[in-house]
Amino acid sequence: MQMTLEEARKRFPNGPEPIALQYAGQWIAWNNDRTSIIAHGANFGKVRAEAIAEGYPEPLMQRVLGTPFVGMA
Amino acid sequence: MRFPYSLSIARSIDAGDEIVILRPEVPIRVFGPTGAAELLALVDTGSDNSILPLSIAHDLGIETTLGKGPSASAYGGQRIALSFADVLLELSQDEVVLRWSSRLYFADFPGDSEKAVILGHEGFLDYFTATFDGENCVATLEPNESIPLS
Repeated sequence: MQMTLEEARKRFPNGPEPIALQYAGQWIAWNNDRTSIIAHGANFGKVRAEAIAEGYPEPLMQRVLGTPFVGMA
Repeated sequence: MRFPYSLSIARSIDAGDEIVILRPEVPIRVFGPTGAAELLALVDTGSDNSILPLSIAHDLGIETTLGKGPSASAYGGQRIALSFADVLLELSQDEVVLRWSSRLYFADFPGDSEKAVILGHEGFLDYFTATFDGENCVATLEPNESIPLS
């Protein structure tokens, strides 16, 4: 599903802020309650290790797709 | 188990505007010999298999075997060589913890190409009744009788 940022905020007023465009195409490591990004970058292992070093032994890792996704091509 | 869709900003295909894309991504834990990683993975009813970037297998010490069969076909006809391994997975929410062993496939994506974490039918969707609530942007997953719980 796609919508404008204004629509998203209106429909999900208590939802999380969308992940910013600056992280598109990167791995990000979330903190435990998924409210802040602890580390980010291109390499899965490095980003995860950085988050662990910051005191998050099992960070939630997410690959942020930079464009609309239509299957792996 | 109910999972709100994830929200991320991307550029639209038509005009290049900034838009919010909402996707059914769920947190899943993948276990390997050197540890476990929690991943937010895209639930993809169009994928026959569950596919992760090979870098995750390397990071968790998972030994993979290169498939002897044909490469997988991606959208647009591109062929993707996959390796595979049987891996312990966990899906949990609140007091419910589901853990099972599954065959996962791993793709060695070149360079900075999109490295999606895909939960397809084999290894994941086959074990659930899945509902995608487009209006409220919530995915609901209820395990079925076939899930091989560990």
